[in-house]
Amino acid sequence: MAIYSLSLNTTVTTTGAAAMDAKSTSANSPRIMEVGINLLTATASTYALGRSGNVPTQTSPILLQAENPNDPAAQTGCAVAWSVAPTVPAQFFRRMSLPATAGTGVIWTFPRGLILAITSSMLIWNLATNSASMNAWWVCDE
Amino acid sequence: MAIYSLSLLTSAQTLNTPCADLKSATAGNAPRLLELTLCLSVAATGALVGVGRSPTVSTQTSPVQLQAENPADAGSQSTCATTWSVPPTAPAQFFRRLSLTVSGQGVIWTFPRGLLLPPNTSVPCWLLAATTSTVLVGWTLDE
Repeated sequence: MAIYSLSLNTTVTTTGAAAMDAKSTSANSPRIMEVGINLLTATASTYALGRSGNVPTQTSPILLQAENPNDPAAQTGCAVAWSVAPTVPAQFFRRMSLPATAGTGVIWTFPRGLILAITSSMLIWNLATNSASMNAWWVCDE
Repeated sequence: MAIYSLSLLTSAQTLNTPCADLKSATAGNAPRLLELTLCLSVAATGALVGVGRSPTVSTQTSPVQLQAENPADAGSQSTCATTWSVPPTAPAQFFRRLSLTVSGQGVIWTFPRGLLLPPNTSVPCWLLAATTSTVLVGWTLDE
C-alpha cells in the first residue's frame, strides 16, 4: 500500500451539506490517515467528519496524488461538487468549531487509518453556514 | 540515510509564484520530505500557500544545503532557495494548502512515509494569493 494526498479549496457553505468528500471505487478500500481543514474566509464554521448516508456522484473528481511518484496512480478521488449529493452521516467521527479567523483549522489523524469501504464516501460536512472558502486535505493509504 | 533540516525566510509576494523550494540533486539523491513547517512572519496581508511538485526543474539562486542533525553525517545533497534564475512552475495539484493571516500562525505538516523527491526535482511552496507577508519555511528530510 502507498500514501496519497490531495488538497482542494471548497465552496459549498450550506448548512446540512457536504463541503468535500473522498470516495473509493468498487475495487479499493483506502485507509484515511489524516484530514486537515483550514479557513480561508473569516467566518465562524463548524465541520464534522462522517460516512455519507448514500453513494454520491462526484462532479469532476480529482484523484489523490502519490507521495512517492514511483507508486501507481490513486483510485480514490475527492470532489467539492456533486451531481448526486452526499446525504447526512448517521454519526460523526469528529466535529470541530472554528472561530471567525482566517487561518484557523484542525488536523485530524487516524494512526491505524479510518477505513473507507469500497464504493463509499467520507464527508467533510457543514454543521453550520460555513466559510465561503476553506482549504481541506486528505491523506490516504491505498 | 540521515536526517537533515533547514529553515529560511521567504521574500516573494506575487500571486502564482513560488516563495520557496526544496530541490533534490541531479543524480543519486531521492530524499524523503518528512516534515514541512510554515509560520507567518510578517502579517501584512496574510498568505495562502500550497505545496506540490513543480512540473519543471528550477535553477536556484544561492541555494542553501540542508543541515545534518548529526554533524557526523555527510553533507546534504538537497538544497532550498527563495529566489531563482529559473523558477519552479505551478504544481498541477497540491498535497497541502493553508491560509495564514496572523503573525505567528503556522502549521507543521508531517509525511510519516516521506514525500519522495526523485533526482533533480523541485517541491515549491506556492503562493496562491498575492501577499505582502513573509513566511518562515522549515524542511526536515531523510536523505
